[in-house]
Amino acid sequence: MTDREARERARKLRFFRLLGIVFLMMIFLLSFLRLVWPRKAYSAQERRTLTQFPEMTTENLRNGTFTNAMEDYLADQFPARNVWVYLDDLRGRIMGEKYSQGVYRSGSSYLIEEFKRTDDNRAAKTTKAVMDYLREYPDISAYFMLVPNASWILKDKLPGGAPIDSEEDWYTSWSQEVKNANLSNLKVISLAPTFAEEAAQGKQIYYRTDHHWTTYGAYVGAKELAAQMGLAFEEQNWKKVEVHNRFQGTLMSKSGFYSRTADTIELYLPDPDVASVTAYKEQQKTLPGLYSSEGLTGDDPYEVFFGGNYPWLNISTKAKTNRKLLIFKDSYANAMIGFLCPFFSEIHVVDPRYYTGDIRTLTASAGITDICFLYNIKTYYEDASLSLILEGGEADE
Amino acid sequence: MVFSSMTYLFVFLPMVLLAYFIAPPQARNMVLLAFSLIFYAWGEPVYIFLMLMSITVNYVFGRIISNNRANHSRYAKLNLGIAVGWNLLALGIFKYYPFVSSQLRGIGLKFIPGMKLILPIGISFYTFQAISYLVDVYRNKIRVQRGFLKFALYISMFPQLIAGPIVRYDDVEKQLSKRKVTLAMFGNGGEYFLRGLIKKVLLANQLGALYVQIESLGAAHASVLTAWLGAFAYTFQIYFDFSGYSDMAIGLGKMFGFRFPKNFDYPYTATSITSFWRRWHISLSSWFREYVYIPLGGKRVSPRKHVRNILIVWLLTGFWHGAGWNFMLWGLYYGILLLLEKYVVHDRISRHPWPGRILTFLLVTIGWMFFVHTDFSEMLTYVGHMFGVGCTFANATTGYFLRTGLLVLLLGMFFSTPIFHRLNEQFAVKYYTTSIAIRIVMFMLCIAALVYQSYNPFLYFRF
Repeated sequence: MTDREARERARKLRFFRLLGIVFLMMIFLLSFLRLVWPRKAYSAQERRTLTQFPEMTTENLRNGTFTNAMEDYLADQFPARNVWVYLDDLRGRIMGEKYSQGVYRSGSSYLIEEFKRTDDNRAAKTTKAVMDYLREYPDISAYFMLVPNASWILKDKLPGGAPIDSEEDWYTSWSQEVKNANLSNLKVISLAPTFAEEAAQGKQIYYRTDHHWTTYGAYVGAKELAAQMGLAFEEQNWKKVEVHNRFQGTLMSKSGFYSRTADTIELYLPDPDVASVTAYKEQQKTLPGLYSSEGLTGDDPYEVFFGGNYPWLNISTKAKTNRKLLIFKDSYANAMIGFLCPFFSEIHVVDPRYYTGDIRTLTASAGITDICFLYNIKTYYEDASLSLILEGGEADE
Repeated sequence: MVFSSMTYLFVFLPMVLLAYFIAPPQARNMVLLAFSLIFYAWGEPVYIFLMLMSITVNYVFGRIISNNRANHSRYAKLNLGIAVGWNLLALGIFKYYPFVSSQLRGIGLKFIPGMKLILPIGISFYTFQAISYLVDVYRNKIRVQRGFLKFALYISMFPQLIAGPIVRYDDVEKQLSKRKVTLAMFGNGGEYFLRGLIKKVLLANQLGALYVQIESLGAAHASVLTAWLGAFAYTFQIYFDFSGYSDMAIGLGKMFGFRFPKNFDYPYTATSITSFWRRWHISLSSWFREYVYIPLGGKRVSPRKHVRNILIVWLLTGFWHGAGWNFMLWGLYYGILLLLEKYVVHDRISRHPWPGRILTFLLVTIGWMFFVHTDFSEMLTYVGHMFGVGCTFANATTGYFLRTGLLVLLLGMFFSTPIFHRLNEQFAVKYYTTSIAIRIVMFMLCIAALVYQSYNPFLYFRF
């Protein structure tokens, strides 16, 4: 061995010795910190409850629940979790990653959920069920409003060439299906043109980090709907209040893209106040009103509207009118229903994802004068529960 | 349990290290065995009994064969037959019965009971180790292991238990009785382990996410170029996934004083298919060569028999990777390519390394698309897209994937060549504080990716 080789070998050995020590230190230091680090119940940043030490039962051990939960627990309770999560986000940014768990990261701090046309038949079935149902009630005025999602209205903000299916294309074919059904009592409200205009003016229609529309978006939607319903919407006064200015929504926690911008949740309160709300879940309970402070401070601040989704809400208002509205809806509607309260004496809100009652009994018994279907396009496209409850009624007859 | 998990890194590993190095040397095998069993039971609490039974059966038959191999070779042969048969039966029932029975029921043989079984982790690996041990004892290549504990440790040692390398008994025989770990060797093990972890967590997982996204594209967004990007992503993913796991296994082995054989040797720089298979999953291909191909006569037979031997070996290799027709197709594909290389191309390729290298890489990439698609119509669609069937050459979506995936693909390319390895070694010797700092940062990035666990599959878990 030459001198040089011997020197190199010695340096190599020294390097490996040092690495050995560093490796041991990293493993043991982090393992120790992990042991003594205080456990947390909730991550404000990710907006979710963190996994706690899993319950050790024979059954859990046998079927692997325990070991899986253990891994989640360790990841969730890791010392300084937020720092690691941020570090991983940073790595993703450097690597140019733009997509995670169905969510795209746009240049302008918007997180946008993808739209995928996986099964056109499912939505066609839903549409047919709605048309068949409405055909049974020719005297009731019906309204159909499918709210475009951010991937349509804000498509310019998406990373170029992102493989998203066009909501617009689907909506066009859907409009044709509805037209073909030829229902004289049905009005379709298309929001896309208005929304595109609003977005062009710099108005915020969607939350940056959540898949819902903002209250402003809902306001614009309500105005369009009210015009079709013939309501004196313009005469109504609204009192704007900001109830949350650090709102980081589901798209952020879903994707792990920790966009550092936060959104503001606004409420438009009718002036004067008009409504009292009864919710039906397992038991009948009276809600404090259209808004819930409990929901606002909980896991999902969007639940400030009613405190979340209920199978069936019955809203009685002080409005002096005979019009009674039945709404079939998803969570988008939660932000909009408040705008309709001054114009109906009663509003029944059915969320088909959770509702188990008979729709036709409800329609007939409640003296309904107006029916509205109010969904965002993505949920309408993906959810099969609406056609199920509408068809379920037929099967019972 | 897998190495790239929080449970392993921050609960299991510190515990086994502490216990191992605190224990007196004569108790260390016991410590390793106990932790290996826990390691296995963590994911497969029920199948631990299957593994213990396998250990016992193979231990006993090893002793019987060894006692009889000198004078009663027929009796030894019979016992070898029974023992190998038992191993194959266990593998057959747990790995292949659900597939075979569903195929037979599919062609109308309804009287055959169907069965859904979860594949015991690592069964393909430890069964092959056991068979190689039995055959080697029979062939008098190794001395039988009389210590039950040591034998149990050979079969179940956690570093190589669930995804190889398939360690030959004579590679570790001495180390089972006597081994030494120096701090430098431990550090060298740490280097291997970190390299494997980085390959798995920072490269394979990101490449996998890229492939999954491309694979699930609707026909409206597909294009030739995108399909190839996806295929390359998977090609690199499976390499980093599997070679990363082997690196971690080899590194852990070193930490406890074992030297496991090399399992990968830059396979994507191979200049021919023959050379690719000398560089990919070396412990498996050499197992098939030694225990199937050569006993069948290898190439020292008539060309017709040689063709038969090659096809048998490669159908089996394919089938070893999974109970499915696509794996057979994949094996057959390699059998045919190897025959073509042998009988048609000859050494024309080896005179032109670069065209050979590129062609080999492309053929391997296409091969992985047979491997990954268990559904034949999906396979045809995907491979069709790669060759322009039903889609354009490139579109806006191609641009998107180039922008978001090119960096990780280039890194993949770079890290699968020996160039990086050489540079890394020279750099480490020259600037070792910087090198250590880089390793700490990389390790932290791995932890960060594991803490935020969005996508962490392990491809070779099925085998």
